[in-house]
Amino acid sequence: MLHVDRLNGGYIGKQVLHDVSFEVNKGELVGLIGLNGAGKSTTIKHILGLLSPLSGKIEIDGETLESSEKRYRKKVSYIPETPILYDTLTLQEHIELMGRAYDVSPDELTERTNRLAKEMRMEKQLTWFPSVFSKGMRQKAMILCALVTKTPLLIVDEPFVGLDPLAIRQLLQLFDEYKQDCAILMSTHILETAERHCDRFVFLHQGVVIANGTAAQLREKYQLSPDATLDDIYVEAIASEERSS
Amino acid sequence: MNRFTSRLGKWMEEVVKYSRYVANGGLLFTLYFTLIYGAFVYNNFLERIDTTFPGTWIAAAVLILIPLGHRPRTFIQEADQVFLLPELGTIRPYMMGVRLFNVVFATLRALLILLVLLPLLVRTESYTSLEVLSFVITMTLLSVAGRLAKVEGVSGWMIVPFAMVSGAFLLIDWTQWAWVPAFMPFILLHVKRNERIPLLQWLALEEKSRAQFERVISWFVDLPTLKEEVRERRLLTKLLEKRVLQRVDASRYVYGLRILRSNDSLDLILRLTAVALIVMWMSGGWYVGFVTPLFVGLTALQLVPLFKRLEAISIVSWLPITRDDRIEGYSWWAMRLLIVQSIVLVLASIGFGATWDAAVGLVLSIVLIRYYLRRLV
Repeated sequence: MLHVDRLNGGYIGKQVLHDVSFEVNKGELVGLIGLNGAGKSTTIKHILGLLSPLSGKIEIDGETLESSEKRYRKKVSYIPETPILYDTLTLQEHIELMGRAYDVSPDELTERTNRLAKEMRMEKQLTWFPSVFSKGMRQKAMILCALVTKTPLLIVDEPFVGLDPLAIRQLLQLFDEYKQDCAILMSTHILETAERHCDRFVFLHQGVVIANGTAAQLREKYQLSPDATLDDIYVEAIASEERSS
Repeated sequence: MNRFTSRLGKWMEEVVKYSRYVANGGLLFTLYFTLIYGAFVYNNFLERIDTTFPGTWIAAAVLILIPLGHRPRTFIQEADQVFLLPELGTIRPYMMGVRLFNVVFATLRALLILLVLLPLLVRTESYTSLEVLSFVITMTLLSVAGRLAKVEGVSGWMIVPFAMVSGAFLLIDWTQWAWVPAFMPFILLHVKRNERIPLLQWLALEEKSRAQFERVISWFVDLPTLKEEVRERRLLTKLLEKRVLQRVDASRYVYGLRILRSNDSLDLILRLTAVALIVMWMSGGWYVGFVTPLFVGLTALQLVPLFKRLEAISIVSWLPITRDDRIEGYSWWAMRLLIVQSIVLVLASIGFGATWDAAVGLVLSIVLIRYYLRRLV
């Protein structure tokens, strides 16, 4: 679904990503793991087309940004780490906007909105303006807006920040449902949760992919015992990378 | 240097910095022109009226309104919620500084209004110098009381009854005593004064006041971080939803709602249209048709930076809505609103006596609308 091929990129005058390559396939939830400043958000910005790569190729479901910006963008939805909502639109109107932007039929949009709002306990808040939302509600609103689109690829940046334990559990269940016909790329620091729910992991360190695979494959790569947690694997991956450089 | 004077110094630096931007901006000349034109129109108006004009009633109405709508500054910052907490009970000089600053500003506001109102009163009433002085003091006191009421956490409406009594004194020809009821609110304010800084309340006041300052600056320079003020406008939204919003694409939908509810777009158009109508009413004569392009141009000029600001706080950057779509969506709304404003003003100008100049005004307005909307690209 998502193919990132030898991506070099970053900001003007500062290259952050170096030959980053990985894939996310249909039915997969892939964890993008890295220290602060490893390049996770920069990678996401490149995939979303908010930054232009220096070189390399990003393809979503056969589309590139160059071939058609509109078709490319219709393939991906995004949940940012910091919720961004319009103060002038109610939650229901945000969802309406998403429906129009992603060409979701009104009936389908209503059905998805009702179901998701109920599951996320946001039914009452549909008619509210974001200015009265709590931090967690704002995050839930962003999640709701992204999930109603049902795009082939969902990108999620640190989704658990500000959510209560019940909401985190609910969100993970929704991700499990969502990924059945789609793919999810999730950047997170909460490794324990990632370990339980991600199918694969991409470890980024200083803008380079240092490891990519399932937990079992990574344990084997770093010669760790079968009961080693993702935390252990991650620490070993970083240590190994720093030893070799 | 204490905390208040250091913050006041920073504020003054900011004002100087923005003044430079404003002085270099093209709108300043338009404003000069509008002010000169306004003064000319007002002067003509004053020459036409006589003692039958209800000048006292207008002055009394202004007295009632002057305590309202103040946005006092407190210079409180978000970080003060943490770092100022230990000092809250001991920083009296800061509170005094804030009060004094707001007294000065409220006085300036009253004097600016008096600049317009006094010539009208002098023209229509036969006031003695003592009565004029009393009126000036009354206006100033009520303005200061309205502003300080917000600082002390008292509603500005509490001052209105006193203002009404002062207004009544004007109407019954007791103008020289009008300052007495205007002084009374200060007793109430003294009783209700804050002994320590009400941090959250002052922070909210500062944010609102800062937003207003930035809004004015944004007329001249782009300030992408400006915060919007939102009004729900349920009835208008419902009306538009059935007739327009249901049928439009995503970009027109989002800009439609944002323009409808933001205090900087629909409100701006309404405010400027109202001012244009007042100017037309006061002017009369053949040039009334030219008021239309003047005010439509001013409105269009301000709608351009608004688009840039709407763009800056936007989730549409990652949605399948291209920049071209967004410009088209915004232009679609802006064009229609400006055309409606032009038609309303042209019709009004005909009502106020315009003839061929109404048609010229309409053509000029359309040229200006097209010119400014092209600047969105």
